[in-house]
Amino acid sequence: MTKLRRVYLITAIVFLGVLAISPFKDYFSEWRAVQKKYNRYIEKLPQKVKPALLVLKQIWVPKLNRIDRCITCHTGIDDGKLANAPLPFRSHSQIPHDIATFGCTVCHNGQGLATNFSDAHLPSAFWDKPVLPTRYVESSCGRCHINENLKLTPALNRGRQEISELNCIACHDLNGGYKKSFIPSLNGIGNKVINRNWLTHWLKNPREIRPLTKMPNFKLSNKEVQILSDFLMSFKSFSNGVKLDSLPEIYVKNKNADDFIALGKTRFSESRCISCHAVEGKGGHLAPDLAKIASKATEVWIFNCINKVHLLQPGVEMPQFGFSIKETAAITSYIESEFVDRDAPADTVGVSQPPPNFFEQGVALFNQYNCGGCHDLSSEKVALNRGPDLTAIGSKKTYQIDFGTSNIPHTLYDYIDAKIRSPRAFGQSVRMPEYQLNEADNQAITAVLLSWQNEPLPREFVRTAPHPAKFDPQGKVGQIIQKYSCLKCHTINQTGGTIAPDLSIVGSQLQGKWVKSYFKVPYSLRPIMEERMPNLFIANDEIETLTDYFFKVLISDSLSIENGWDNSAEAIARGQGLFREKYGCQSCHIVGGNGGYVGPPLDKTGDRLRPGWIYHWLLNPQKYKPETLEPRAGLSEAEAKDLTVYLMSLKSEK
Amino acid sequence: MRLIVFLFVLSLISCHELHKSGTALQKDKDSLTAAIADSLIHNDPWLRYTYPERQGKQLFEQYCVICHGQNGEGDGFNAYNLNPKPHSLSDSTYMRALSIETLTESISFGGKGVNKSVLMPAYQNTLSKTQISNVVLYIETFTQIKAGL
Repeated sequence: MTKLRRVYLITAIVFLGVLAISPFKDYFSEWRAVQKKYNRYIEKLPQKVKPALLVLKQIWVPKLNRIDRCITCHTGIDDGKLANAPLPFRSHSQIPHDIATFGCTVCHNGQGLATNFSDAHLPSAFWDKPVLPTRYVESSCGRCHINENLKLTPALNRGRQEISELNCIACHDLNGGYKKSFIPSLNGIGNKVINRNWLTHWLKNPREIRPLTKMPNFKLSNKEVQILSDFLMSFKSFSNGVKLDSLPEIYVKNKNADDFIALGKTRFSESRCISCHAVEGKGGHLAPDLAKIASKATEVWIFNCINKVHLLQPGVEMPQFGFSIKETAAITSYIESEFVDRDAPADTVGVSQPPPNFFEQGVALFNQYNCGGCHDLSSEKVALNRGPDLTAIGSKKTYQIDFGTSNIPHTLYDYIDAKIRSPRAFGQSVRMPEYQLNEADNQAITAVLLSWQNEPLPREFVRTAPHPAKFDPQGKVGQIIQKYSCLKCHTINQTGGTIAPDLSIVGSQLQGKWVKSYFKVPYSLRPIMEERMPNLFIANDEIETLTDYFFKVLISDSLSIENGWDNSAEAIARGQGLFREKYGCQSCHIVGGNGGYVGPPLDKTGDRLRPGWIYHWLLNPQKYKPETLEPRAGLSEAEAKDLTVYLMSLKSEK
Repeated sequence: MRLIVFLFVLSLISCHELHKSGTALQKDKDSLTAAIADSLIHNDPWLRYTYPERQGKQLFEQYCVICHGQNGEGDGFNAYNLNPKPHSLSDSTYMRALSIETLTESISFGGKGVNKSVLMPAYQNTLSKTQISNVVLYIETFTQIKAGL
């Protein structure tokens, strides 16, 4: 019996001991130590800060079904006085969202209920969403702000832009309404490329020939390159049955004549081909570098390309210049004489006989790498062979990811980042090519992909950008706008490019006479701009039609002003005083030979702009162009009138 | 018993050895991590700047770089057209004399707001108070980093 009692006694003591550990464990818990440290820290501060009460704190967001205890340790999260405190006491930076209504983990991920550092922040086998590194945190903005390009999410905006430019939609299903961008058709490539040798080098590593090309490196083996080259060179006919016109007699006769080449060179520079095409890296990057084009393409193709580019490459963004046949031939001769690759690799293969089954093998490779996703090729055997659906990639669980042979940390963001950086690191069977992106682009694309999740969010949290109305002019104006690819650079009614000024209200901004002369001899108004308006050699009747359209349709009644402004010499003098002495406009604008180079020179404003436009612009530049550098000076209406009168007095002839 | 003592001594010796080589290894590793962290912090804007500073950097690059230069040295593209030229914002003696309030005022009300050149425009109607304070925070980093190096 005594033995049993002894056992009972020992068990009782052990049990008591175990019970006693519990309050000790709570007393010495990590978060309590952090709060005590916080209280010691705030005592040293000059300002008075409310101390922590040594209790667990949490934010409960029922709508998002989240309970976040982060604020237990991140104690000063909403106290502006702690903006420079060390982590975890630092206050949150100013954001448009209220922490109490959104919680923490909806943006930052991590385990909201956890009360120790490693469970709350770090990846573990039981928690798929560790705290997002700051570089990807914008991905959470993108979960609710669908397709909205906000000012506060530069990385997200950049990532969306890259995804669109790299044409990811060609292989993957994506969110966000991406459309396939223009990629040259491969029909007729056998009549375009000068020899098979060029194609083999290109397929082996496109960046080596053209460093800025968007075509990624598919890491093809030498054998694959040979087969694909043979396969592609067998496509001799162009899309829609278009035939190449033979070279005109004038070209054959004069192609080596110096004055003929000189004419071509003049037209080449007048029409500012280098606005879009770089030559040895100098110039625009909207179109391929022309430096070695004569060693790539046949002369008859170059001639036809300038002469009827829209027929040869349907959908291409290059404008159809209004050159005569003689001018086109002259430009071809200039290109043939100048843009030659002097150290082109020798044609080691020459005229080789392709193996008998090259077509079957070629089409198999073409389909394996889904070349048809980007490039159009008219053959019945071409089939799409797309990559994985990415529309819910951000919700992928860690156990679903095949980390293959790579040795990266096992988190979703590390996986996506590494996959974009070097897809083949995950094993040789991966088909995805290498894009060689820079660090910032890689991070930005990763952030966008992380934002594509399929967990439903309450409707009141989601903001979707409205689809802008598509501007699609019809009839003669529509044809002209399409022929000269105006909307590649200019925007009209929210449709078009952002390279050149928005033309939606051009008829209320500019004077007719000036517009007509500008079409004839375009010049860059803003010296800091890289790309410049090309001389498109537009025919006179087309100029008439366009200007007519500008001044009848592309106008805004809100820019009209009442008559009878004081345009006396005194008003002009007052305006000049405001310009020079009060607002220092000359820091950015040139008038009378001195001033800055940021905005357009204003010397001939009176010949160029309409007073209503100047007046309304001066009052609030951001209203018309949100990204403009010109600050809103806060002019009174009287000041704006005087300045307008002064600027309108600046004419070439009085 | 003898065996236990022997094993105990052996484990002590081996642990000591391990510990010794461990410290050397740890030192190497630490210096490497420090070097990587250093290069990362100086190249990666996400680690080098806080959120308000990044917002300020973005605004500075949009509005200010053209005159004040990429690193605030007063060597922007348009600086040579200005008289007086913009002062270097990375000059720590000059910057120390300017309080945060003065910097905020010169951005809000322009040069003439602080009795300086009229060529610096006022941004109070263009940028919000938070935006201006972010730009000020970013400008302050020019001298902080110089001092830290």
